[in-house]
Amino acid sequence: MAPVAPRSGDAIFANIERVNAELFTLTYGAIVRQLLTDLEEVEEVNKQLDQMGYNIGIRLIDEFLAKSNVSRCVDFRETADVIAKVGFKMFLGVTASVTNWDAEGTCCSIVLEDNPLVDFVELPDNYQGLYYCNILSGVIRGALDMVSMKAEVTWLRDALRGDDVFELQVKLLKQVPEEYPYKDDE
Amino acid sequence: MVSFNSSEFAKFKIIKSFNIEAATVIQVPRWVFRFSKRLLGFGMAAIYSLYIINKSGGLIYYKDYGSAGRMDTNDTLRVASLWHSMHAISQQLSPVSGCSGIELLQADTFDLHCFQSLTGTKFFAVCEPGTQQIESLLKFVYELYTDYVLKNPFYEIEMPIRCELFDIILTQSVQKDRVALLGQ
Repeated sequence: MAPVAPRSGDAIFANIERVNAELFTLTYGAIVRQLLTDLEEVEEVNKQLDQMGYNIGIRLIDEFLAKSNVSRCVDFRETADVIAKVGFKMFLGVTASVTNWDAEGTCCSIVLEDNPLVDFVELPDNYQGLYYCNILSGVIRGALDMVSMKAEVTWLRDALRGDDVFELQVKLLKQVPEEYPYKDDE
Repeated sequence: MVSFNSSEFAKFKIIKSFNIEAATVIQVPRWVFRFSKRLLGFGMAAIYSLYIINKSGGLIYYKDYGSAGRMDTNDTLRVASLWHSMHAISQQLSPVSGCSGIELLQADTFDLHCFQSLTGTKFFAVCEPGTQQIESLLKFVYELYTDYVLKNPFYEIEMPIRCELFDIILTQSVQKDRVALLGQ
């Protein structure tokens, strides 16, 4: 079979079933609010959001692969580019840019100028430690995990804390080889 | 519904011959009808069975479409783990690196098409020799799997698939595919 050409983020976004953006934003807000009520500690909420994101990511990656037709990336640079240009567009309707590569090509920043999750959000003083969009970092971590890349995702800049944009640092820790652990001599 | 008009009745008859549950009747597209006459002449199924195995080789879904050689649960589990191992060995056998494993196994009585997603889940179908378009069917099954299995919050990842919606939609698309094949 001839390989199917990968689809652009815009093309997928146009064809996929979408939910009203406001409903999405408000639902996410309700989740965060409920977590704050239930867990009380801001740190715990950050952790919980990350875990929820991870659980989403490990399922969402398959949908991403199935609908985008992307093939195996040659290196982590391509992976980051695909996440920013196709992934974010497909699921959030925005595109991100990739910057700040380190020399080895294992660490970069994904910069989000537009973030639908925070459309109506103002972070109050008593929740300053909260990473409101921590679910996104979890999603990326979970998705990469399923394609055998262990990554660490942290927020460098957060527009809710007074920065101008959202900046996620994605650091590739290790690539787990997919080959079965054959050892002929064992 | 009290009375059928003629086209609805015809539709109903086709469905009966397909042996799909009545609940799916309304969702069968109209073009199915166009192929109906040719189809009724063919008794043989294009696809014999469909398997989905998780990344560790466990069978998570099996569906039988053919009548001949139906296997019991133990047989299907054995086939799944056997195929998983053969697939892995084939990757090792390849003289060039980057081999993604067997995609098609041809025998004199059947073809086995396999599609492996980048996350390691394998979808494979056993079908009549020479059946076309199975790759795209498997790709489509993968999409259905992401929509109707992975998005089901009560489905536990890597576990056997017991999702009724997935079953129904899958049955429809395989039937449609069969119709499309025979209509050529």
